[in-house]
Amino acid sequence: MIHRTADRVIRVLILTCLALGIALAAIAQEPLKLGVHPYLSASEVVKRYTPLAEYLAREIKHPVSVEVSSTYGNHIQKIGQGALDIAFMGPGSYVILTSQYGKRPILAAFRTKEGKVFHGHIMVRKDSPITTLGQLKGKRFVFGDRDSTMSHVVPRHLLLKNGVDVKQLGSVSFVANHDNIALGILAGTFDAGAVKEEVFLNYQSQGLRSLARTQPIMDHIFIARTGLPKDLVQALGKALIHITDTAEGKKILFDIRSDVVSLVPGDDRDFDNLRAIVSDLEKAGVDL
Amino acid sequence: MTRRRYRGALIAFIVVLFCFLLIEASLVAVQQGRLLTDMTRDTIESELDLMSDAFYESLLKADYITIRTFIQRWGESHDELVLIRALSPNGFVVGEFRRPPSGNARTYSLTRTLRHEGMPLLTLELVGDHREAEAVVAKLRTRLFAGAVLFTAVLGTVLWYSQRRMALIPLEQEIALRQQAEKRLQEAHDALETKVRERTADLERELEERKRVEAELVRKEERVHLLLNSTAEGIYGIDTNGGCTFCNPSGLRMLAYEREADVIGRNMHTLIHHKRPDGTPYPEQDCKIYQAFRTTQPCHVENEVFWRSDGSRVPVEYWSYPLFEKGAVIGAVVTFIDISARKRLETQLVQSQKMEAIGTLAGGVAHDFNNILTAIIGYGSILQRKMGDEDPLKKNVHNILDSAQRAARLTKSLLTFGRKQVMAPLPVDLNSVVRRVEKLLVPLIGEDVELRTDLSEADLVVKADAGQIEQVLMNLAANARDAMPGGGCFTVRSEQTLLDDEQAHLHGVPAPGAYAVLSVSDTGTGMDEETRTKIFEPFFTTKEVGKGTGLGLAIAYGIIKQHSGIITVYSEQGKGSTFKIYLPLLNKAASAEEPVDKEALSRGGTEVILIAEDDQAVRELMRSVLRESGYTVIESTDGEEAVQNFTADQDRIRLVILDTIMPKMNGKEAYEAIRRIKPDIKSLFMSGYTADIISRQGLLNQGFDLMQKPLSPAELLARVRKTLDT
Repeated sequence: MIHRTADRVIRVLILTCLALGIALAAIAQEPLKLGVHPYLSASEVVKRYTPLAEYLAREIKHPVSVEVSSTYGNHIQKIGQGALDIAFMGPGSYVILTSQYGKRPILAAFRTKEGKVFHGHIMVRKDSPITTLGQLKGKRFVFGDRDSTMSHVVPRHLLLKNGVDVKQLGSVSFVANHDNIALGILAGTFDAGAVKEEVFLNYQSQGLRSLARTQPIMDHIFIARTGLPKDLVQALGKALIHITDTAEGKKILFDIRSDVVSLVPGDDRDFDNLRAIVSDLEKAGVDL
Repeated sequence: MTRRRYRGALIAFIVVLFCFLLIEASLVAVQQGRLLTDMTRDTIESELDLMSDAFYESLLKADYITIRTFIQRWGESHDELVLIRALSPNGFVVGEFRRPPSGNARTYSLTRTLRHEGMPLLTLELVGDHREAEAVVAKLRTRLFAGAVLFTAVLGTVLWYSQRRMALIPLEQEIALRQQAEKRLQEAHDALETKVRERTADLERELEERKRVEAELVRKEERVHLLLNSTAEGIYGIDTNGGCTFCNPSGLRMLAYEREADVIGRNMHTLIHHKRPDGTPYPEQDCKIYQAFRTTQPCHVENEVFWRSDGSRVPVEYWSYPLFEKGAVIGAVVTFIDISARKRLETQLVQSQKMEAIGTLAGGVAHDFNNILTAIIGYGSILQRKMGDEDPLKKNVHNILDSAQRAARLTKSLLTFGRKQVMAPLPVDLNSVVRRVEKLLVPLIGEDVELRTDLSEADLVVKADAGQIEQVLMNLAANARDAMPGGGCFTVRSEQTLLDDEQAHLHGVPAPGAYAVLSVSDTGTGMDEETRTKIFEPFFTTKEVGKGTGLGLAIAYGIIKQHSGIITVYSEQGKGSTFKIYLPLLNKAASAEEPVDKEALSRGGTEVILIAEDDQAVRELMRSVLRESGYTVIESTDGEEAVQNFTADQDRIRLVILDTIMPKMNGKEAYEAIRRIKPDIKSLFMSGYTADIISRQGLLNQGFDLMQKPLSPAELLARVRKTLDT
C-alpha cells in the first residue's frame, strides 16, 4: 500500500515537472511581432509578410509573427508604445513617429532601381478631361490615410506647391489604402487621387493616367523596438540586409514589392527632406 | 412447359415491379432535384442580399478592396457559383470571381443594384449552377435505383423459391417423367427415321444404279445404231421365218432400197437371194443363210450374188450368225459386202499374170531370136539385092524374107503384149493418129464395111507411142472385120471426158482426171458374156484355125496398159461391139514430127566405124552391109576389145556401134570407157533384149540412141548415116 502511494507521488511529480518545463519553454519562445501598416488589405499584408516572418525566425532562431495595424496612426502608436518588436513603415509615419516618440533603430530600407527613394502620383481616369493639377479645383479628390507618405503627405504638399488647396477641391475623401484610391477613381466615385508609384503602375493599365509625379522620398523601412537586445537588433538587421543572398529571400522580397531589388541599411538623415515637407504643411496649417 | 410458363409469369411480374420502382425512383429524384435547386437558389439569393448590405457599407467607405476580397472569398466558398461580378455605374469591374462552368449543370442568374439616395452605386451580377443539387439528385437516383434493383432481386428470389417449393418442384418432377417418356419416344422416332433414311439411301442408290444402267443401255444402243449406220458393210437381221427384222443404211444402199420399211417383215431370201449366180432358182430350203439358225453355227459364203430391187445383181461375200434370246434361237444377223471391185481386181490380176508369163517367155527368147532374124533378114536382103530380077530363085528369097518379117512381128507382138517392148512415148494428138491410120484401115476392113470417123474438134494430146496406137487401131479394125463377114459399119469416134473418183474407180482407170476416149464400134455379130470376159486373153480366138493368132486384142490390151490407160468392151450379141480406150490427157501440144528423108538416110559414107557385137552372124552382116556402103569397119567381139580397138584407132573412128549385152564388158561400160578417151565420140546401141533389161542398164533413160533387133540393112544404114550427120 505504501509502495503504491509512493509510486503515485513520483508520477505526479514527474508530470508536474514536465508541465512546468513546457510552460517555461513556451514563455521563452514568445514570438517577436512584426507590425505592418495597412497599406494593403489585412489579408494581403499577412499573405505577403508571413514568408518574411518565417525567414527572420529561421535566421534569428526565434519565432516571428505578423500583425497588421488597423490604421497608420494606430501603427505609429503601437510602435511608439513598444507593442511591436519589428515594424515596417513608410517614411511619413517614421517622421511622425520620431517627432512624437523619438528615434528607433532602423534595421533596413527598401532599395529600388532608383535607390532608397520612391515616388508618388496624382492621377485621374484615362478618359478624364483633367490634364493639370490646377484643373482639380472643384473636383472630388481622394487621399489615403492621413499619415500615409505618398497617399497624403507628399501629394498634399505637391498640390499646395501647385496652388491647389484642399479647400478648393470639390470634395476630399480619405480611404484606408492605396488600392481603394485607385479603384475609387476607376469606379467613378472620385475624379482624382494620390498613390505611391507602385500602386499607380499596378492599375495604370486598367484606365489611370498620371497628372504629376512627386519628388523622391525615402522609401519604406524596417525598424526595431527600442529595448530589444542589441545582438538581436543586429541579427535582425543582418538577416534583412542579406535577404537577397538566397533565391528564396529574393522571392520573399519580390512578393512584398516587385520593384525592390534589395534591403540596405538606413539612416535617419535620409528623412530630412520629408521632414521639411511635413514642416511646410504644418506651417500651412495642415493637420497631419 | 408449365415450368417455363411459371417462370415467364414470375419474370414478367418482376419486370413490371422493377419498372414501377424505377419510375417511382425517377419521380422522387426529379421532385427532390427540383426542391434542392429551388432551395439552392433561395439560399444564394438570400446570401446575395446579405452581401449587398455588406457591400453597401464598404461602398460608403470607398473600400473596394474589401468588396473584391468578399467577392473572391464568397466565390471560393460556394462551388455552385460560376460568376460573381461587381460593376460600378461607369461599367468598371470593381471585383470579379469566375469559375469554369460544370459540364451540363443547369445555371441561374441573379442581379442586385445597390443604390444610395436613388443613385446606383454598384451592380452585383451572380451566375450559379445546380451542380451540387444535381450531384445530390444523381446520388439519390443511384441509391433509389439500387434500392429498386435490390428490392426486386430480393422479392424475386423469395417469390422464385416459394414458387419453386410450392409449385415448380412437383411440376418439374412431372415434367422430368414426361421428358423421359418424350426422350424414349424421340429415340424411337430417331431410330425409325434412321431406318427410313437408310432405306431411302438404298433406294436412291438403286435408282441411281438403274439410271446408270439405263444410260449405259442407251449409250450402247446409240453405239450399235452408230455402228450400223456408219459401217460400210450391209447388215440385216431375219427371224426364223426369214422375215427381215432390221437393215442398216449400207445394206439398203447395196440392195437398192430407199427405206428400211421397204424390207422390214419381208422374206429376205425371196427378196434378194432367190437366184444363184448362174441365174438358176435358189430354193429357200437350200439357203445357207438359214443354216445359221438351223444349225446354230455361223455360216460364211465368199462368193454369191444378192439381187437388188432394180433387178440387177451384186456379187457379195456374207456371214450369217445365229441370234439368241434367253438361250433360244430367234433368227440370224447377216453381214455382207459388195465384192464387185474385188472380183474386177482378181480378173485384172489374172490378166496381168498371163501377160507377165507371156512377156517373160517372149523376152527370154527375143534376144537370140532377134539376132537370128537379123542375120536372116540381113543376108536375105543382100542376097535379094544381088540377084537379078529374072533369077527364078528370087521368089524363094522373097518368101524367106517375108517369113522372117512375120517372125519379127510376132516376136514384137509378144513383147508388146508382155509390155516389154521398147516404147518411145511422145505427146501426140490422137485425132492425128486416127487420121493417119484411116487410109490404112480402108483396105484392111474391106470394101463391104463402111468406115466412119467422128473426131472431136479439139486436139486430144496424149503421151503415147504413135506407132503402137496405130497398131491398136489396126488390131481392133481386124477384129471388127472378122465380126462383120457380111459387111457393116466400122466407126471410130474420139472425145474428151472428165472422170471423177467414182467414175475412175468404176472404169478401172488409175486416177481421176481428164481422159481422151477413143471409141471403136462395129455392127458385127457381138459377143456373149463368156467371150466378152476372155476376149483380151492371148491366144483366145473364136476364129478358125489359121485365121487368127489370138493376139490382136491381147496386144491392144497390152499397149493401152503400157500407156497407163484402159480398154473396155461393151457387146451385145447380134448388135455389135464397142471398144473404148481411155488415155490420160496431156495439157500440152503434140510434138512435131520431123520429115524423114529415107533416101538420104540409106546413103553410105567413108567414115571409120567401130562395131562391138558378140553374135558373129550379126557382126559379120553389119560389117558386110557397112563396107558395101563405103564405110571402114573395125570389128570387136566384146566390150574390152572394143575399148582396145578404139584406143588404137581413136583418131580415125567417128562412130561406135555397141551391142548392149556383151561378155567381159557390156555396151554401156565400153561406151563410158571410150568417152573418157574421146568425149565427143558418136554412138549407136543395138539390142535384141527386152525393154526392161535394157532399162536396167540405164540406156533408155539417158537418151542413148538404141536400135532394136532385128535390124534390116536399110534401117542400119539409115541410123548410121543419121547419127554421123547429127
